[in-house]
Amino acid sequence: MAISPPIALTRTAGEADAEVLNRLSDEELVQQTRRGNRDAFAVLVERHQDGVVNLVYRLVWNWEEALDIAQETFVRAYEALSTFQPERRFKPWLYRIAANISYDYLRRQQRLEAFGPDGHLSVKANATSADPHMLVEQREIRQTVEEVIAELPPRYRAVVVLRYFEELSYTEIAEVLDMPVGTVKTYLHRARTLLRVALRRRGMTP
Amino acid sequence: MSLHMSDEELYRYVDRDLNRREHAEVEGHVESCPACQARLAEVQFVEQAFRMMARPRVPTDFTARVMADIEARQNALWNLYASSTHSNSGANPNCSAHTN
Repeated sequence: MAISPPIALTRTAGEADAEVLNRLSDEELVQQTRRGNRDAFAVLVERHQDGVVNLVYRLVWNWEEALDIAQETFVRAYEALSTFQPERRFKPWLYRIAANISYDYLRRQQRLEAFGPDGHLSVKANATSADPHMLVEQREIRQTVEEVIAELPPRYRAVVVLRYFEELSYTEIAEVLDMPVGTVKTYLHRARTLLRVALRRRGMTP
Repeated sequence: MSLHMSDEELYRYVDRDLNRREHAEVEGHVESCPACQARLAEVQFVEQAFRMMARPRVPTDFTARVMADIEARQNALWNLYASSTHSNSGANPNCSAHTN
């Protein structure tokens, strides 16, 4: 079997270079990485780690596994950069890798149905409001949101995360999760209805 | 137009998933219908609530771990490549011991 040489890495970039890299778009950073600039890829990891870990954790509900899968996602993305088409957006492409590895993990665990989180996420109110009543209210709303999400099957949770955390379009979510746009809308509609009913039942809606 | 807006229409309205005519239709109806106004407020509240989901804190050394993993695998690949070509041309440029 012919083995092709991996991308050669260079070690450059002082702080000034890091600043320049931070200003580049994802797609420009991909180009830089392809030219052998490892620091450009480190910026991509820094930029997308929260989103990738969040998506994976919501899929697998196991914190240690989520970190391992997220790490594997970036390594595989690096190795597959030559297949990335520059006219497409990097983020959905990256998230698709994360979703695929998560699905493989769930399949191995035979856990594609709903199951509970490992309790890693602590539900704390943001310290954005000085009003103690607001803090309590925010905490209760967040608690309700987490309870509703925990009841959803993995793919529903992924749709919610990609929509509300990552602000992806329906088309991009469909691409990441390999499902028709209509299914994305259906899953989202169900999640919204569940949350609406739960909030209403607790007297939290306006 | 139906008596009230459907949930789907309200969700598509907040998603900006309606064409200009449909968007104006929902807007016009909601302005004059207190019941739909209340339902729209509820729908918008649910949207805000979802955005309050907890976000996990990724360990501070995560990027370093990823980059170390990449380097280790690249080195392993280079070594495999070098041994497969049986020549010095495949020497690993990432490994200082092999350069110069």
